[in-house]
Amino acid sequence: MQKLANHPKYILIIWSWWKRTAPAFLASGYEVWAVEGKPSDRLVLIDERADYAAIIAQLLADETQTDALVFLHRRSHNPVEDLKSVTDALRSADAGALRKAFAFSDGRDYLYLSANEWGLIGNEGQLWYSSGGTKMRSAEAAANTVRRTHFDKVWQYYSQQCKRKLLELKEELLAALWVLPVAQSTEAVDNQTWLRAFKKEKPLLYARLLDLANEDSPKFNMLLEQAEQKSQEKLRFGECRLNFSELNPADARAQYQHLADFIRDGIVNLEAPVLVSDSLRMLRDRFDDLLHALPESTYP
Amino acid sequence: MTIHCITSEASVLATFERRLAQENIAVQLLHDARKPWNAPDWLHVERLVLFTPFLYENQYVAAEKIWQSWLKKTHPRIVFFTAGFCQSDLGVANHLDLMNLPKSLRDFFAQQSSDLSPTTVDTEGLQLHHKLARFFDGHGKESIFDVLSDITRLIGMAVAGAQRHGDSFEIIREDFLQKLPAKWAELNNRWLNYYALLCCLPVADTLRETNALIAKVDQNYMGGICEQAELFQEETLLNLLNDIHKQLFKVRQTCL
Repeated sequence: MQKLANHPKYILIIWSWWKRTAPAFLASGYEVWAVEGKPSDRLVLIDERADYAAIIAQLLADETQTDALVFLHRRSHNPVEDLKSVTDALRSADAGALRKAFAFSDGRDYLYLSANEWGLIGNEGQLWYSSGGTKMRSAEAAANTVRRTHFDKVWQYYSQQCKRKLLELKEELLAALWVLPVAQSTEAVDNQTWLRAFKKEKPLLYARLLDLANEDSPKFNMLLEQAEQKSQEKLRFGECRLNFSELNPADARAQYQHLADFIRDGIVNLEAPVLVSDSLRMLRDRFDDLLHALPESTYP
Repeated sequence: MTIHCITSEASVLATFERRLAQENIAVQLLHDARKPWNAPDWLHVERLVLFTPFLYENQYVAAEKIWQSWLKKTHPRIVFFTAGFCQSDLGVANHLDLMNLPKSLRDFFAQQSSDLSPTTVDTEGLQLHHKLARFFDGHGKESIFDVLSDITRLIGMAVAGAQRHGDSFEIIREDFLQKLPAKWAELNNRWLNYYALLCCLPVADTLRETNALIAKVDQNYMGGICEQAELFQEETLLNLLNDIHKQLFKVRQTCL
């Protein structure tokens, strides 16, 4: 497992900060807040009506070694498309810098104080959240300083989110596949035959596999959406795919491509006889190659 | 030959059992890794396989380094293996890659501890030995033992002040006791942050005993220590703190 170097950390949140009236948000379109006890870290609030890609590019121009997480308030039903507007500005020339982007909305994400006591954002345009007479703050407004624990917890959660989702899918998927009699057999079988049986037995797992590879399937997309609404858990890879393919260092981007290509061409769409154990081993290898190429830890 | 297993995946174990049966090797589940650890009967365990990472408290936990250390110190005759869907790194002789099983599982499990290097597999799971080390050592701050020592020292000095020098409670409170709540909160919070997760480990019984001791100190003493003049002088308090120290030391010695 690689370790991340100790870089400065920036969290940049693009939101409706303009709704804050006291004090009014800066005309420049962004505000830089300090982080308690961490002189090189920053929380940057960016007005969603501003040219936020240009602001991000400007702020990070001389910060190639700074790690940065960007959060964009969802504007459409396709957060991945929304985030593509910031990836060029966010990408660093330094392969050692961690750069990731996420969409958020509706008060349910970890970023929100309403969803999690260690969140950062609250009522519209504020770094506090009030409910039933209690006010939860993530920052000291008078000092333009965000509380360290809130910054650290949000950082940790999001910087590890995608790798964690990947490991968890790998383990759950391989456990479900390995126990199939066909996976223990030394005889070749028609690929689509065994896959058809698996899709029927574990449709949700199959849907997550398709989603990881961005293999379009309206039926399985709908299944994932329904499962997400029921469990309130984000099962889709969404922004993680964008992070894997656009923002990670080059070797991790390449490994994601190898994994996605194998899922599509070696499992989902392959029409040929296969030794299932060989297919599973190659799938496992691709998962492991990507996991090892991602420098962040999987869990706190 | 019988292999004892710890795993969170019942279906994987069932398939594993069928595979081993082909070579006349019996498999027994020693512990369901989804649940907090409960000490089993170790008498007949000769070979132990930890399926890694295992799912515990919604996280995939990698505890093999701790298990290896603990077994070496407490049950040295048991040969320790890991198994899972992770590739086996070069030099890790005790890991069974389920995707790449050796021709003879009997030969694999016949390896003795002396044949096996101390290196364990790297699974990308939650590295529990790092977490345990952080619990003890802090994040570059005071170790848990330093914090305990500070608490014990403050109480010891308060007692000396009262019993040897006849200092008033007000002076003792100002000089020593009012520093206790913050120190105790530091220890208690650190404990609460780690305790639940660590109960998957073979030292869970010791951890539960420690939890009961910490709860006793918290409920019976620390709440009123700056208000009630007799509390800090009770011998039981210092005994409890010493017992906490002993239990934590035992955990550290066997697991890290």
